[in-house]
Amino acid sequence: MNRPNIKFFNVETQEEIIREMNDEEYAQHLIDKEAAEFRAAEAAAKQAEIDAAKAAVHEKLSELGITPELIEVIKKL
Amino acid sequence: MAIDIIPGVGPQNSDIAAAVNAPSAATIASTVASSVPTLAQINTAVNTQTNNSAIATAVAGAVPTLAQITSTVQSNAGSPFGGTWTNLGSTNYNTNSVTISGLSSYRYLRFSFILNNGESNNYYIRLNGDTATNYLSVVQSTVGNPNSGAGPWSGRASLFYMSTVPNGAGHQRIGVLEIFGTNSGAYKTIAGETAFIDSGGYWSGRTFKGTWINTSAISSVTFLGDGGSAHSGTIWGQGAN
Repeated sequence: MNRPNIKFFNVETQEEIIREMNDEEYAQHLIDKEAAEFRAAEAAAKQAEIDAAKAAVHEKLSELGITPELIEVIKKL
Repeated sequence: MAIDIIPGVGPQNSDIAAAVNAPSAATIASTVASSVPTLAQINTAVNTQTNNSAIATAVAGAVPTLAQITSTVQSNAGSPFGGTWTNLGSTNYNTNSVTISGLSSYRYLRFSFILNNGESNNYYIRLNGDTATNYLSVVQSTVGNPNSGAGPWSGRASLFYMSTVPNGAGHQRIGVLEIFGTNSGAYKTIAGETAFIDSGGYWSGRTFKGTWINTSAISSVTFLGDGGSAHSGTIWGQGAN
């Protein structure tokens, strides 16, 4: 399997090099990839928590007879 | 009229006349013409003097070329208080990362970038290839939800600089990134702003600030996609002292 390409640009010589990742760079790439997946999972979990909390609040308000439509009207007052 | 003094004795008039006879005007003119150089000969001699070419060579070596003058003016542009600005050039890329090196002689660095549309990812910076958790960053949205994307994030392995670009025709993310004190023996301060225009034509932006907890001079800056993913765009650089 081909490894991802990376680019180098030296401003002193204006030389540009594009090549595949070497072993060290590829190992770091896998670490970065795992960290990104972890962050995405963490963000998704946090969003799910927020959504659940919002749903709980709306349910409570509904029990009190305060519908989402009424809330929109109150916001505009 | 010559008078014969003693007829038949001594030089005769004709002898005297021959001895003292001055050259004729024609003879004089011919002699002058053959000994005095013509105007053409003088011009030729002057024009072929090696001194002229030597002078021209010396002048050419001492006077800067137009290209040299232009480069000096560009380098010094924007620095009325002294110091120098250097145009570092630009690079287009479509790779998992792009590393810009050769930066250690500058005290201040500025990078301007355009990310191509369709990039749906976050982007990060590493300095000198440092992958340790030496970066702190804060991102603040300037439009919409002010809490969106807010940090601070400490102890990260890279510095956040740009968030998702909408996937759609004509969308491009633009930004400017500044790094201060890049060759100082102190921690480095990074600041920047990115912006894009959404599908409704509304401007949306982020400002970000960060610190690299390292006192080494910055020799390279790496821009990479989240998780090392590929992204494409163009980066322009400037350095100043």
